[in-house]
This record gives sequence, C-alpha cells and structure tokens, in this order.
Amino acid sequence: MATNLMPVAKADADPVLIRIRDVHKSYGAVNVLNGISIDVAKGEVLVLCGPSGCGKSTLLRCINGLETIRSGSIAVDGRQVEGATPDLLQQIRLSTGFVFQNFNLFPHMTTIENITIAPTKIKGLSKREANEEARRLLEQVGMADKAQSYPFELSGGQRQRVAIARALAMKPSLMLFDEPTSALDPEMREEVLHVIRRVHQEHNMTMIVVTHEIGFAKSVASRAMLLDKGQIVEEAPAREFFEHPVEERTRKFLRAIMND
Amino acid sequence: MNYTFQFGVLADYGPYLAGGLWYAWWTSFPSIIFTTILGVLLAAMSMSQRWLLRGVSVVFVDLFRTLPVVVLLIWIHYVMPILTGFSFSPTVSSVIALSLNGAALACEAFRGGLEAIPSTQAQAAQSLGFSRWQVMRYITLPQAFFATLPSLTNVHITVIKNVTVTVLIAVPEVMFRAQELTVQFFRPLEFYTGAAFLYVGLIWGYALIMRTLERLQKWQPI
Repeated sequence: MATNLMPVAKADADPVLIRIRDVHKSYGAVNVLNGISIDVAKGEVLVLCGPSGCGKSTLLRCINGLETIRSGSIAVDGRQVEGATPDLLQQIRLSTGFVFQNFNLFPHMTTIENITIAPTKIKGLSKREANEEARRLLEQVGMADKAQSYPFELSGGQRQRVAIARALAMKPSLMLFDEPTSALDPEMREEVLHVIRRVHQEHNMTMIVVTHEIGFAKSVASRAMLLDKGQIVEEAPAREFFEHPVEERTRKFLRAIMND
Repeated sequence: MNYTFQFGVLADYGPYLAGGLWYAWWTSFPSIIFTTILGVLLAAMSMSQRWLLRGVSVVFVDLFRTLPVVVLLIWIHYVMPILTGFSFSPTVSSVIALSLNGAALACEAFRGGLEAIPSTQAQAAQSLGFSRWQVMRYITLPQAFFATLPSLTNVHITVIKNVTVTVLIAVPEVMFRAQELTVQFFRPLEFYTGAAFLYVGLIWGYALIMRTLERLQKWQPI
C-alpha cells in the first residue's frame, strides 16, 4: 500500500514494473480470472502458458485496459489501470506495446504508414522523423524492403514482424505478446521469435509473452507460469519450469504441447 | 395511336431543356456533399458511447427516412417561412430537403460499412494509444469508406433522382422546363422523353465517376 503514497519521482526506483494483485474477471457467469497476483520486474521476460480458455490472453488485455477487471488491482509503472481516466489509460497504453495473435495490421495503410500513424497522430512527431524511425525499425525486423507494401501483400510472419515494429515505434517500456506465433506456419514462427529475441536483447525490454514455444521460452524468459481455470498453477524460473515442473497439472500440460 | 412524332422540336428547344441539367446538377451536387458529410457524422454518432449522440442520430434517421421528400420540400419551402418568417430560394430549400433525406439514407449505408470492420482493428489502435474518436477518424472510417462506396453511390443516385421533385417549387431544372415547353407546344412525348434521356445521362455519368473512385482502392481487406 505504501507504494501508492510514494511521490511519482520515486516510482523510478521501484524495480517492479507491473504489479497485479488478486485480479478477478468474469464474462457473465464465467469466471475467467480467479485471483491472479503477479509482479513483473523491469527487464524481466515472463512467459505465460496454459490451455485455451485459461485466461492468459484475458490477463494481457486487462493489463492494457482493453478489458475491465471485476476486482483487484493492476498497476503499470505505478499507474493504476482499473478506473483510469481516458487520459491516464492513454498514458499507460503509450508505454505498453501490444502484439496480437492475428497481427491486426491496418489493411488500408502501407507497412510504413502502419508504423508511423501512431507516432505522428498521437505523439506529434513530424512525418520525416517518424519515417526515419520507422525505417530503422523495419531494418531491425528485417522488413526494410517491404516499406511500401500493403498488409495483404505480406505473409503471416512478415505481418507479425511489421506489427512488432508498429508497437516498438511508440517506444514502450513494456511489450505484451498475445500468442504471437500461433497463427503462423511452423517455418514462419522462427523468424518472428528471432525478432522478439532481438527486441529483448537490444532494448532490455520488459515482456510478458503468452506462448507455447518451449525452446523460445527457455532461451529468453526469466520466469514461466502456468495458468489454468483463471489461477496460477505453477510459477518458476523458466528453465526449471520446463525441465523440472513440480505440479502434475504442469507436467500434463507440457506433455500435451510437446506432442503437438 | 394517332400521335405524330415531331422530335424536331428538340432541335429547337433541346438546348433549353438540357440547360435544366445545370440546375439539376447544382441542386444535386451540394446535396450529395452534405448528404455524405452528414451521413458520416450520423453514422459515427450512432456508434458513440454517449447516449445523447446515439439518440440524436436515431431520431434524425427515423424522421428523415420516413418523411416523403415531397412533404419535406413543401414544408421547408412554404411552411417554415410562416413559422419563422425566414424563407429560402427554391434551390436552397431543395438542397436542404434533399440533404436531410439523403443523410438519413447515407447514415445507414455508412453504419453498415462501419459495423463490417472487425473490432480487433479498434483494439489494435487503442492499444497504440488512439482515443475513440481517433480510432474512428484514422482506422475505421477510412476502411468503411471503400466498403460503403457501392451503396453510397446508390444513395447519391437517389439524391439526384429526387431533384425532379423540385419541379414543385419551380427550380428551373430539366423536369420543370419539360413541363414548361409541353404546356407551350403540346408535345409531351418529345419533351418528357428528352428529359428522361438527360437524367439517365447525368446519373450514368455520375455512376461512372464513382466506379472510377472505387478503383482507387489500392489495398485489400485481410
């Protein structure tokens, strides 16, 4: 509770970027999140896994204020998400990049326009500045030659890499990935995972990644967590989590995804 | 049938009849513009979170979609001045009536187009920090515009056709002139057939322009 009373300037000293406390969320009579509490430290990569419907995507969407929670509290960089005014919610979203399972690129804009629209319209960057930054990001995700293409002309993997660049263009301090590779063919997954890895290394970016890519999770994640029926079943350092899971539920789940 | 065709009168009075197209166009063109702008606004309002905006949109659409254009036109031109002491020229009254009626139709067309845009588009934009209004302005409306073009063309064509009712308040467009010439020369077939061709030509040309506009869409939905 003391954190809420601290002056804003001191929030920088707080190593915890996301503080989730006893979050409940339901759709009608269905409880999707049943008392979730998680701290994510700055620079940490947290991998969330779990069967479909376990609430992992909902949790990400709650952190970004795309869904409202029933009770509990979520704070991003000291800012409360629940009950936030539209202005505060915008600030939270500006510091948070969101990458969707189905990319959700804007189909009526070229690759570079997809990336520059938010910096120019929201942050008020000049077109020239935004374009320069966008080209640098496209270089980073290996899409420099597709700057003038429309999303329908790109493959799934390429679309997702553009979507990552679009999120990075807002210079977020936190990235949320909602099953970034599960809509992709196996050979396209690696190109996207490679980009995510690089983003983490180059920006030391705090990330929450919902994924079932075990290899990726072991190499990048600092921590992994299994969610089931809206609750945390097991939480451990990533390598330990995947190699020596304690809970029977986790073992069963990992067996299932490895046979996938 | 003992009517002797004398299309020769069109050689003499055709240009005068066709001159009515000028008025038809300058009545329908501003109406098309207002129809479109108002239609977009009403459609955006109908999807607002504020009940007042939604309410205004619903009342507007239900009122002007159900009011026959003739009634609306007569009311604006002859009744409103009695109430307000304020009167418009026939062309201005016509533009107002056609725009109000057209906007109600265009709103429904745009609403259909807007609702066809997946909600994930708005979520992606919101996650980047766009406000609800900015999502509408930069993301949903531009996408809905192209999806709406074919039905918007239909609305515009209806607006142009409605210009013919302005004959009732003596806007000197094609129908008014055809009536005028018929009374003078007793040649209804020639003049009204001429009027038919002129309107078909005008609307066909307009539809052609709109189809060209549809081809400007360089992107495809995914």
